[in-house]
Amino acid sequence: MMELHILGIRHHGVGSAKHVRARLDELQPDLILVEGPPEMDVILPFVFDPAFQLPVAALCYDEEAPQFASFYPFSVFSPEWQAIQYGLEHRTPVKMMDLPLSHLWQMQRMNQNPEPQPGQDPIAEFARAAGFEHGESWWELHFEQAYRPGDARQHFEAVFLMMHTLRNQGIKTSLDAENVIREAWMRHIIRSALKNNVANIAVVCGAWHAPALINLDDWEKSDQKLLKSLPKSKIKVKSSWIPWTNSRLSLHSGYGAGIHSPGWYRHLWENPDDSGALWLSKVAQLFRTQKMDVATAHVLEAHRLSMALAALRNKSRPGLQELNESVVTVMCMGDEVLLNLIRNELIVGNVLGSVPENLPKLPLQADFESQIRALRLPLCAEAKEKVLNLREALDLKRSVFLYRLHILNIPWARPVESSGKGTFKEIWELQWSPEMMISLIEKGIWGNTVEIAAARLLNDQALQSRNIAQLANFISLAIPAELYSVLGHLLQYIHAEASVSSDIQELMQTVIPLAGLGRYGNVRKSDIQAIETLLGGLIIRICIGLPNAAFGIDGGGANNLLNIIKDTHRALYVLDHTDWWAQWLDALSRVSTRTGVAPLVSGGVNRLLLDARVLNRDAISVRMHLALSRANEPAESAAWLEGFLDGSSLLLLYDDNLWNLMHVWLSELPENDFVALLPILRRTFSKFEPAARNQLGQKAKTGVTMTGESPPDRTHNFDTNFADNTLPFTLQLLGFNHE
Amino acid sequence: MKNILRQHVEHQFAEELAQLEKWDSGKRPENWKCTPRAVLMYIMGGKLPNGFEISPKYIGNSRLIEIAIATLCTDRALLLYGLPGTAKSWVSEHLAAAISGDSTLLVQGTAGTSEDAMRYGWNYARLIAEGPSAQALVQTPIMRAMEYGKIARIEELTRMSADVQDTLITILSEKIMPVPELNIEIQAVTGFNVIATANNRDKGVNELSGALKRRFNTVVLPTPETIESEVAIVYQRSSQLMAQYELPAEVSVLQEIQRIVTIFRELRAGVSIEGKTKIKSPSGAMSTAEAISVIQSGMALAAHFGDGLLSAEDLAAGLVGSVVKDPVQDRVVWSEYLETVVKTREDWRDLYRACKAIPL
Repeated sequence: MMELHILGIRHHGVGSAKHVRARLDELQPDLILVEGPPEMDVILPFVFDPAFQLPVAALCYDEEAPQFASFYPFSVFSPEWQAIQYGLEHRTPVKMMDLPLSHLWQMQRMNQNPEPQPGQDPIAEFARAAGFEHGESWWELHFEQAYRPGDARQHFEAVFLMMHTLRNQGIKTSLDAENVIREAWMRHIIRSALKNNVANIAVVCGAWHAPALINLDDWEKSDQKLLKSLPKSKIKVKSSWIPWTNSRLSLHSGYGAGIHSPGWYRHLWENPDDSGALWLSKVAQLFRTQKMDVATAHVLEAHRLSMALAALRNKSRPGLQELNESVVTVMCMGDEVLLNLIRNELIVGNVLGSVPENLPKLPLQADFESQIRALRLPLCAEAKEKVLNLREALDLKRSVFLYRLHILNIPWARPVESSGKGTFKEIWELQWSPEMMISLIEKGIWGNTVEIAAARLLNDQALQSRNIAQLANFISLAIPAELYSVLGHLLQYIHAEASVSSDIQELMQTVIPLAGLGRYGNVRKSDIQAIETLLGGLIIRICIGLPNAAFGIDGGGANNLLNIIKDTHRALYVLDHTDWWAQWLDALSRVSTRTGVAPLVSGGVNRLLLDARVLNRDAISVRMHLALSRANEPAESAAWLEGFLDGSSLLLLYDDNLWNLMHVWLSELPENDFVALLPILRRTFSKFEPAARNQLGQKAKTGVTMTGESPPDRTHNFDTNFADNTLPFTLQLLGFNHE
Repeated sequence: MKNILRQHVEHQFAEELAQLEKWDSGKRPENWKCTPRAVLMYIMGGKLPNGFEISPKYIGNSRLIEIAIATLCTDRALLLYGLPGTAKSWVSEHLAAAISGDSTLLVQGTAGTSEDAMRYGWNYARLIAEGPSAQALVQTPIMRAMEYGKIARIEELTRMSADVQDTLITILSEKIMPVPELNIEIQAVTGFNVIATANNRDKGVNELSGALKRRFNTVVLPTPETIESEVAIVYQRSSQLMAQYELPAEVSVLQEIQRIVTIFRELRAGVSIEGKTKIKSPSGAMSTAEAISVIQSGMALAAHFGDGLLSAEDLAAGLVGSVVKDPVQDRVVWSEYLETVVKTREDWRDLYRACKAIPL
């Protein structure tokens, strides 16, 4: 007598896993068939290795094009994992019975793969009838949370019956078209097992497939026809195990079924009888490690509330939702922010799995090795310096590759500050150590090639960063690493952060590198546009906020601010955008006239306005007069002067008006004040060139210069023809190609 | 009979409560007028099997109301917490009406609320004439609630000074109120509980002590989730008040309400409605209740000083006033918002001009 038992499960379902285990113990099958690609069969024996720490994922990839890959994550509460474990423990053969990936990918590449159609969650039908919002929570309550030992058979019969009813009603799901082929293949595998006289077969598959895997003979003809129509495939699929994380268990990949609360499931798996008290104690302990006072009384009250909530909602015992709500209400003063902590630490759980070392090689590793061969960058244990000339194609590729590794945080190559400001030269120090390979393998979860992995990792880091300066730094990494796909995202994040930032200096510091980005010829057009939009928004904010930002800051702060203002001024000048420039000058004008602005900044801004010809000489001398008025604190006047002169003596040498103002102010300073101001004056004047200082000294000897004496008429006796001779060479110096 | 300006909700919705009681057959907690599920139905609205419509009292997430009701089942006190104008008092009143049939056992918290208002007072004439006696004792709403097993309400708990707040500790943990002068104590009857409301945004509040916090289950009532529900709330309340104050009714109000609600939501959430632009939030709460008052003052302005039609000019002054509460920070926030969001919307030009015309 041949027996076929279909165990319909939910992927990563705790209750399903327990029932599978119990049912297999009852059935003692001769063969276990599990939903999953047959390419995985070769790596199943490794599962017994004690070095395995869950969660892990089976990785199947196309050997020639590793970007075609599927992950099949498992945790201890995955029914499939339990089935595989059972098989290995009892020496029962386990086989994967899904459609081979080589066929699936071939169909995808030939565009034969049926597009997923919009469908619905079939279980939602039942859930709605029972008054639940989502299918998920209904299923969880009835099939996952409640586990009663001894009724595994009934459980699977109930699941089977339910799915049978739903499928008979003709409910469409989004994967229907693909499922037709997959189920035909599964039936085909089961049929051939039966033909080989296997007496007792257990099939572990997604609940939805269960009703399609009986009455095999009725399907035989149509299945054969369908499977014959499958395209021939030459794709070689390789498989391996890789470490997985709980947070990535919630991703949709492979089985297409993510779960949102792996940590909670694990708790249920380990403590099937917990009514919530143990979970709440774990929460309390977590809070205590974060220095929050949570007493046993809190746990007790939260437990009572969760029970009352479950009763109000007609549930036999509190689920995760009731427990969360109780925690927020009783322990957190209704503040849901703390729930994030619980979510990260407990509900999802910061768990990283690990796999044995003797596994087949991973695609990222393979990609890395093929690239270092192609780029002729050997792995050496001793430190070596490598100078790259970016004008050479090979060196440029090397640089891009090294930047990507840098992003991946693989410390093989370290950038060394290259002397001089030549942008064509890069120096890297290379030193390899074996741990780096492990670090590389860990990055396998990010992608199968160095490029993809670097891009994803960078994107993820940027997503978590709240710091504008850091984001700007990411941009400056993404460009030399040629990760243009990430650039757009980075710009978006910066945009989001910059919009809420009220730190004007930070915003200006973001503008400065962004303004330079257009220089890179191979940045995409769309990104350039995004940069422009972003810049536009930033500049509006800066211009509105600048007058306030310059208000009431101390000496060091003023110095910083002035430097940033000058850098921004330069960056905007280079950008040469009429509107922005006008807005910026307008903002500077407002700063320059506002009282209470740090005098150093005020002086510096006035200088910028003078140079930009917003203010003329007359206006400036009025301002200077005002700044050097007797009523002002001498120290403030000196600071203003320092900012205004900006390390250059020309103004004083050639504008007698300004010279006289300063001269009078300085000579009329009371002795005490003069001595007190000496350091700051010295700082101001010592920045001048020695020759200029000399000239100024000469000028100071004569004291106040009479108007009209100066400036000397330099057009007198001027030989224009002679002067013209210098023009070609000057142009050449300035970088114009003067043919 | 005179028209009462505002009736107690148990009278206003007496018909609904009576109908619910007829249908409600489950087991009630002691001294409750309804089962917890019937209370939920009363607050969230629904249809009884006999076809009777229960109107929704709270438009929002029913899970929060479930938590509130479950809390009251467990004899822990309930604290409704949140921004001003999020229907805290409204919910508290309805909960008391549905559970005890009586929403009047109320202590209003103010800076001047004394301990006497929380515990008990004395009739001094009698006290002097007869000495301390039960007759000279003046009962507070809380004392009465304890005696009859009802819900007592405390409004604006955080407005009271901390020492007055702390008189609640004995009541909540021991469920007794000692009267040492008479050497007696009042023991609370089953069914007694306290619903307090407090807001976390207003200036000049007295933070609850840790001891008191521990005795409350806190439910935070959020601002409305979707723009549709918020517009519905504002429209409903504005038209009620419009009728009440006999303001002239007018048709295109809904459109203006949508704009105002959009502005309030954007500034509150810190992101534009399309989700494209991030925005700074002002220091004020930007509550639904404030949006209602902006609309109302705009209507009054239009009716008494304008042409009776609600226009951007009528709204601008109230709008700017409700956003710019802090003259420095909020001014920046508001100018940024005007320039980066309002200005870019083609059909908002009138509003942009009207707002620009208001001196800051």
